[in-house]
Amino acid sequence: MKHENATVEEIYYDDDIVKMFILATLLFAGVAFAAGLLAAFQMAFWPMNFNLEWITFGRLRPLHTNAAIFAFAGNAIFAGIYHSSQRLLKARLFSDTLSRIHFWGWQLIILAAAVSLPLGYTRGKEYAELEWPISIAITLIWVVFAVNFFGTIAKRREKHLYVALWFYIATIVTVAVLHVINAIGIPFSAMKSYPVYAGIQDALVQWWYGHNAVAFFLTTPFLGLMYYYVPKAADRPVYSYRLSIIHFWALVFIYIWAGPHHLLYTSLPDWAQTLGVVFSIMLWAPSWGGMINGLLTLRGAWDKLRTDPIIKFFVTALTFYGMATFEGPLLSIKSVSAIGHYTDWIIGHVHGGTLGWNGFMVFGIFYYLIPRLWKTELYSVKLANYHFWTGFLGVILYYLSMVVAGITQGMMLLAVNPDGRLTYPDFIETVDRIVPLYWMRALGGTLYMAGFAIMAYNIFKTIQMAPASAPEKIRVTNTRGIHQVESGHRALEGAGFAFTVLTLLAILVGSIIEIVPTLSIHNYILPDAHVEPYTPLELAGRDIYIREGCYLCHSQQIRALSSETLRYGPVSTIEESMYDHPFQWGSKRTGPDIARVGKKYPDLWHYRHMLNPRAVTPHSIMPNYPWLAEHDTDFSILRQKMSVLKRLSVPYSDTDVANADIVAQKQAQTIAQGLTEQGAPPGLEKKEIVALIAYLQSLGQKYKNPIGIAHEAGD
Amino acid sequence: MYDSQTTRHPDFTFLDQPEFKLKFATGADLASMRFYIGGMHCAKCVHRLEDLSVSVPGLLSLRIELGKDVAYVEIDPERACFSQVAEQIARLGYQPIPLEHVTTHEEAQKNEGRKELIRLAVAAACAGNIMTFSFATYFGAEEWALAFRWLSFLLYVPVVSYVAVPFYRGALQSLRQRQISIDLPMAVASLAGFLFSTFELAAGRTDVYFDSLSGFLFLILSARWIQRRMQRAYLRPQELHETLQLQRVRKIGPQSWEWTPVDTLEVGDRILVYANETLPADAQLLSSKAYFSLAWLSGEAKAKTFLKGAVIPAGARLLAGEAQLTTERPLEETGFGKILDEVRKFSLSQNRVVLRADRWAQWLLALVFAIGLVFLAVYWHISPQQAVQRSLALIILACPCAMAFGAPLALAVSLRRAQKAGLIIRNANVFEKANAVQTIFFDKTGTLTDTDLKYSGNPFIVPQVYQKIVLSLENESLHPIAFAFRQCFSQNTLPPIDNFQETPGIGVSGYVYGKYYELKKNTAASEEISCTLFEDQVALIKFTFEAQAKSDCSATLKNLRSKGYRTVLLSGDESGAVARLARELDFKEDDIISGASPAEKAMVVAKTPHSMMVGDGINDSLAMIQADVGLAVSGGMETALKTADVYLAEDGIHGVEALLSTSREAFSLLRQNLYISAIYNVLVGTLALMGYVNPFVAAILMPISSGFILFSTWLRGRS
Amino acid sequence: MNILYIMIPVSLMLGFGFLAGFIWSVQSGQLDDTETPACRILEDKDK
Repeated sequence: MKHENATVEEIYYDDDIVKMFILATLLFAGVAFAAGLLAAFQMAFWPMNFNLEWITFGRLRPLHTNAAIFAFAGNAIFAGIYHSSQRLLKARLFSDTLSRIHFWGWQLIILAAAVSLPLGYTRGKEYAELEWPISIAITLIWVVFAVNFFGTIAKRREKHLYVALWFYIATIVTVAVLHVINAIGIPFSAMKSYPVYAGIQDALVQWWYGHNAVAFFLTTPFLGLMYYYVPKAADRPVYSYRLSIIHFWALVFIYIWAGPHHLLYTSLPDWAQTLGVVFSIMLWAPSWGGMINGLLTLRGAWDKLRTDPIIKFFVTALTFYGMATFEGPLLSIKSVSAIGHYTDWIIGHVHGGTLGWNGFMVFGIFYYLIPRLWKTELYSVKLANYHFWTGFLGVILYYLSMVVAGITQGMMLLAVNPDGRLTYPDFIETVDRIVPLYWMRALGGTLYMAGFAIMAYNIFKTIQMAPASAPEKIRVTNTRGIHQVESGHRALEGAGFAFTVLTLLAILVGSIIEIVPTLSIHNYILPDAHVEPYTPLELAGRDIYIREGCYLCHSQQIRALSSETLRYGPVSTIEESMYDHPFQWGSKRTGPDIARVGKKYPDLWHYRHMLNPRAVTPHSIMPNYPWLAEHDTDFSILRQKMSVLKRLSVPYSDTDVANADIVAQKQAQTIAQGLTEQGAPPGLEKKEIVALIAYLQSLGQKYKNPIGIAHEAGD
Repeated sequence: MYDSQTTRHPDFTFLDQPEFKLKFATGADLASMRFYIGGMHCAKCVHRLEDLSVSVPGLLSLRIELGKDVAYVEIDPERACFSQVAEQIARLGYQPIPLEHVTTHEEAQKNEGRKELIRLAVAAACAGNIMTFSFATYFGAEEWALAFRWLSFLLYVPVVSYVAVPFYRGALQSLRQRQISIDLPMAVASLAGFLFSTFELAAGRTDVYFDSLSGFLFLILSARWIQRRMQRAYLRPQELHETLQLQRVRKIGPQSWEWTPVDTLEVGDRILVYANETLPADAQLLSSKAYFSLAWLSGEAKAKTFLKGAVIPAGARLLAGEAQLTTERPLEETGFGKILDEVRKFSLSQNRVVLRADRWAQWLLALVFAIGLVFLAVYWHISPQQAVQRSLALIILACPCAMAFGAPLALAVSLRRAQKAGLIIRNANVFEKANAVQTIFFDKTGTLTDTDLKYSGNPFIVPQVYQKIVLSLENESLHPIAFAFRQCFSQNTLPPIDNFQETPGIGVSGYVYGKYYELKKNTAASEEISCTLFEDQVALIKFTFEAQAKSDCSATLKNLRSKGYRTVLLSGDESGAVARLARELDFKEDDIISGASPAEKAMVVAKTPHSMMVGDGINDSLAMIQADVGLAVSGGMETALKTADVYLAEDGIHGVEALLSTSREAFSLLRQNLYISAIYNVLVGTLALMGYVNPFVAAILMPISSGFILFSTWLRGRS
Repeated sequence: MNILYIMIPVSLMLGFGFLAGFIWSVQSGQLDDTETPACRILEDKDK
């Protein structure tokens, strides 16, 4: 093949975009860690909710998780991917324009999240809380990212695709599919929507997304980054490149089906649960393949562990990764899940992974990358070492406290006396026991934050002292034989490709919107069973429940365990949640399960409980919700809500929809009157608290068996 | 053995010769070439070499493949040439050696390897997904069971029509040869299982076997793949140096010399040979004097001095300087050429030795098939559907798994063990052949002994002045005796010699300090190699030399003999030197054969049944071809490698013991796996015929049995 | 659980999409050399 121009090309990598993403990561790390820290203190000391609706735990937690996953990990991933891909492919990024759209678009999404979540605009699905306009924005920006990335691959000069790139590819493709499918919903207002799925369907889709979000957002990209940065930092090749290829393909085939392990003992059919368990256990092997490969890469360089903080971070990160990927399959075993599910053990597991694996990987990568990008030395290696030890201690404290708390609480809740009664009939007893551990966790978080503060200072000084430098010219040869023509049409080509992808996605979304409601009709319904949908007021109350993030501390799914039926009532059935868009099974019990709390307490009890939980449960750690008695319920939007739900196959009639607001107001009137009679202040019929009470009193009351009698608590 | 570093700067101009490029370069404009790169050992080496593509203009790309020590070079012919690239590589400190085109054989192997990998991936994907759905059904997904079964059917279609194809091919081939191979029951199981399960599915029943079938097909494919990978032992391309040597020669023309392909050399052509190069034809010496080694003939690097007019046989290697010669006889008509021809024919032939293990397997299979058919016939009267189902279950479960899995696994493990013991094995059937060996033939020089001579006396008692004289006399000599002297005497200043004379076959002489000294070889047929220093015709000192036996020889030979092997010393050397070594190493009188030419060696070995030949040189190649097992020791020449079944990567001959013990282990492991398989077959076969085996049981039993075999193989692999 | 009518095809498509990716990588020679790429990434000394 004849080459017209010089065979050696001189190119410039786009490192500015990398720097931008790095700085964004550091900024939002502060935000995410701070939010997490505040949430941790709120759990230990409820007054730190400050009676402020925008930062109560229920609204703060999604802010923390989204900031940690998308703002911190996300920006870090983009920084790492853009930096390493250019060098692995020996090509500058496909389009500078797309890079910047990606960057600014993503930061805008984060800002939108930072504003919308405290305001209560949440979809009520974990790690997928961001409402539909932001969801769409995420899709668009992700497509921009995909086009930019795949475009760079297309124009690469190095023909071999290093294994890290495969991890990136898997991430981009799978996250796109997961996000789109899980985010499908029908809006009923500018900032609110209902998911197209309900009940058990939603549970499955949510955790199919949720677990694979962990897999393909917090694991595969980090494994890819690990395969690039650990060898570079240690200056030795990966221990076994062949192993990395094998475990990549194995991982990518298996991961998809592990989702059901989040739903063990729930009303998810047994076979699906068992399948989830089996797959989760199988996952252990390819995950440890990655860990072993990473750790053994350092063989022969272990002395660096003493001196180099970067290696310290990497080794620790890999160890935590190994721990988490062992603990995960362990937790998937049904008997272990019986103890751990809904408890802080899961929180411990998550944070061992996120603080230990993701966090430390980011720190290691940044300590490696920042001096190189800014063409200077790290301001202080000693400070970096301090950061390591502080952070490490922080993670250990966090992890240990939460595992102990989780197991303690889990075992206490399961404990049944020889005479067949609950050993700890009051949930609050278990909470009391573990609050000291919440303090310990907050301490751990503080240490981690302190470590990060040290890093921020160190990086600030490093960049401050960095000389002004011009981009470095790189001389490369092209081993693909394809001559690169710098095309001005790059952005257009990219746009064309983007449009194709978006069209396909739109088709997919549209189809699913059409199909799912029809599928929902033929469910596991006993022939004569009757499940009533929510009344308009209950619907309003439910949406308040979601807005306040109540589902983050209270579950609505009684498992098939004897201690649970003793404590909460009959096991939850699939039918009971069949109209819940989104499902409310919950995944954590900071407070008790409320699947059958309906009609268990009088309305006044709920009124007093919401305003000040300690009035009815001393030692409660739940925040106050005084604004519920001050804000007015939005009755006008009820018609829209119900018509959307009707489209999603909830059996509302047209009159139901048309009269939604009137019916709701009438029911509110009744409840408010009753409250006033029992001693509450008058004029509550317009207030949100009444709607919420209506909802809470309906829980467990909607499923009437063929004879028409609802299950009573204690049956 | 020989040193590939020449004293002068390496000359790569031959790379640019058109005839050379025709044979070695590829691509439309002959702009690509592969090189073996000697001296490469780490990541830094890769960088330095690949960076050349940036610093050398006209070098379009240089890609290293570490595992094979190969570099793929592509140049822009208008701006650079291969010799420049090779020079740059050499300047970095590496030795580039051009490699011939990828042969069609290699190309076919690569494509085959790729196809295998794809087949394996498809098998994994389909089997994995089928098992997901069938396990869901076993776990109780009743409502979905039908849908999942149809899904499994769809996923099995690529398995039966694509993944299982090698088994169909193998089965057909073996049937044509009227044999039963392992492929047959697997082909039958795959097809029959598919048809039966589809029929059941269509009829609305539940006896569907897609999961166990796809699972075991995947397992067996992967076991075979592992085995084949281990078996692809490769010749270290450094040994291909020799091949290159014999491709081209410097033909002297009117102006200067030019590279010419050897096969175009004609009688009367004048050729020029440099040090360390092999003579590619019988030729008459034009230069006044030259030292050649006739290692190919005797295995010794003994230097022979040739004077002008002497005819030197092809295969001789020039030891120093340069020599001009006239071609007398072209390569293919020389004795050397004939040996090379034999070697080439042998390495190209496909030996299809049927392993004993295969034969056992055949019997077992035939038996199972027979039982299955009989049962089918008998039970048909009771219930046709049950008859088919049960005999199918028998065939699916009983035949393939344990055995088809066990044999390749045992071999793979043994190959890996052999590798660890420093043995490079070219064909897994060597284990069986090695197990049957009764007599082991050993070559002397280079195999049992080092190729260097060593002074057997104490150098310290030789007076300094005589050391100096001896060294001075032997200063220019390349005789092994000279090297031996230089090894043990070290003197900084040497006295000058007047009237130096060298008489080939006798010795050297000259005047030192006014006295007349001679260093004469003792030609008496004694046991040692020795020479005597004369001063003014009076014998002063007699120096004796020996070729040192390698350090592990004594111990190894003792062990072998104690295990009942007959050991024979087979050497091209004269009886004197051979006798001394034979005595040192305790060979029996009858087991010593000396003075044997390559052909004679081959004859001796051919006459002896159950023989193993351990050697290192070309002169051993013919014998290795004749032996049941040929073993080439480390440092051996390329031709030895081409004809040997096993190559010892470590120095010494302890590898022989390692090979024999590994073979024993391999066989024992194979037998163990076959026993397990037989027991399993009996148990499971009974269960199947009694009707207890349904798809669920099959899906459990097959992975369990494979797992069991894996586990027991692994256990033995560790000990 | 009828959602499986969507989840299973999507998961299978993803899985077989990756299989197609694997086949492409084998056929384009990505897996021919599984040793040198690990060294090659160390080449550009990002000082």
